[in-house]
Amino acid sequence: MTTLRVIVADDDPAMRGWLVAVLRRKGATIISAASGWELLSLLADEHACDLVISDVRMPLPGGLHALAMARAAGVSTPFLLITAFADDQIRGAAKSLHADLLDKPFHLRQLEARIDEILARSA
Amino acid sequence: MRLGLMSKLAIAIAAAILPVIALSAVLRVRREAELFEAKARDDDVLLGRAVAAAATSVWRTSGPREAKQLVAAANTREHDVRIRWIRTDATEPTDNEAPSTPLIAPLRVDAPLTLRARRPNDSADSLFTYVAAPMPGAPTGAIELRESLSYEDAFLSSTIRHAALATAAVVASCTLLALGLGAVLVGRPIASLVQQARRIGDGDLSRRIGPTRRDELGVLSGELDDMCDRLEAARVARNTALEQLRHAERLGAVGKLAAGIAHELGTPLNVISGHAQLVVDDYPPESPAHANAAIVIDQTDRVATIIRHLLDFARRRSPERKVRDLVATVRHALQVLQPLAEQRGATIAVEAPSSPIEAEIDAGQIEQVITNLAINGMQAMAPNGRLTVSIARASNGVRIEVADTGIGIPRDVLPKIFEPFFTTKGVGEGSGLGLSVTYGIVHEHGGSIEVDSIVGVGSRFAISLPERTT
Repeated sequence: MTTLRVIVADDDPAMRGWLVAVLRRKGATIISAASGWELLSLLADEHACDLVISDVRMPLPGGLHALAMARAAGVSTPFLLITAFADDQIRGAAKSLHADLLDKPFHLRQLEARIDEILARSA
Repeated sequence: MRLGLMSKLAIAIAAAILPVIALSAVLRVRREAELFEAKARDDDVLLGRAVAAAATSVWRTSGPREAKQLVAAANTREHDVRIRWIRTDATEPTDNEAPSTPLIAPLRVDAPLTLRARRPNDSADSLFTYVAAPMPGAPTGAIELRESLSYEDAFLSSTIRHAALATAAVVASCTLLALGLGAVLVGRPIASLVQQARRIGDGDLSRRIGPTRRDELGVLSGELDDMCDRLEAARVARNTALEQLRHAERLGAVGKLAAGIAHELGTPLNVISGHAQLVVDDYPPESPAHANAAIVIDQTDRVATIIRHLLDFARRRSPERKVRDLVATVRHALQVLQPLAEQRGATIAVEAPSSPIEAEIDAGQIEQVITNLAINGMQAMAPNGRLTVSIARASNGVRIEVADTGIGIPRDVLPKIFEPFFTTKGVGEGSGLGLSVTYGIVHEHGGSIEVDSIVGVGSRFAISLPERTT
């Protein structure tokens, strides 16, 4: 079984650190990004990525913008967007761009369950 | 203005009455004068006949001298009438006092003659009466009676004076009556109308004139009262609308603030809780670290719940409305709450028609409304309390009432209950957002929510929803 490769994008280092800690427990290889630009450049380099976990609200481009650009560039990697404020617009956009959405605050178990679910779907 | 109107009325009445009275006085004077003259003629004829008969008889028995003395005595006795004996056959005028004798030549015994004429130098007419007095040896004699009609003029002028006085009295009493009645019938009600109009102008709509009269002024004051009612209703409606607008603005401002706070707190809270969950996973259950981390998780969960409520409130997702059975929606929400009700020893009663009541609603949001109100109600009640939820059609849509038998809401607190973060519950029991969210959902459905409450008896929340959106 190959190692799980995940890109974690969040401008908040504490949140990013926790996500990395959780994913590391699952034995994944993690690449961190602190902004939408970093996420996009990582996606451009690391095509063989299994999952992107990104905050929606980052200094522009945010998670949704990065997702939209990646999809436009033909990247089909599963995205899990994390947001504290999901209105109808964000939900609609995420859905149309084939991304999952997780509302803050959430429990460790919820995060793990969503990751498992996404990976099972894309496998 | 009042006096002016009344004066005009009095003048008009006097002007109408004056010619009538004057005409009647003139007619009366003329008739009286005719009656007076006729009576004088009759009296003079009677007197003339008596004097003629007596003189003739004395002439025959005692001679002409006694007869002439008798006539002279009669003349002396009568003050108003001058009596004398004249010859009617004389060709020369006897004196210049009488009409010319040929005029009375055909005088017959049975037909006395009366005529009215004015002597030269007299100021008034005189009445001349001639009664044939055939004397022996002087067969063409006659008794002449002359009565001055000067006092008839005096009578006429006094009658005219009386008529004028009567007219003046009538006009004066008419004027007084018009002024007096005018003040009572017109002046006073107009004064109260003017006063009321001034009050309305000053914005005081609390007073009413009331049904005092049944005339035109009464109709006017009734109209004024109706206008007051309508103005007051409009003012109340406007104030209510303004109050709701202010309330909505306040809620909107607080909502934005809440969203900002929730967003900023969400991430660090997630990090705290997340790390605590890692500790729980990493340490055995019996270790103090595990227990402490579990406490951290519990407490962050509490904060997370508050934040979720805040977001529910601030997010203001517009309702996705579909035609749904409101009765079923409410029953479903209450069914979920049944275990909680049993735990608190409360009864939930639903009063609803057996047939569905359809309305365009976001069923999830309406369930949230019912849940919030029902939980509040149950928390306000002692064990064995009764929560009654009724659903009924109303004139302008649907009405849902949630009534509890709880402690009630004090009057000074009532206006604040829909404000975010306002709570009377103990620390940790309520976020103070449930009713704000409820308020927001109901208003986004185009409805309204009202509450009335009696301390110690209970509270009743009444929601009005339109059946259809427009």
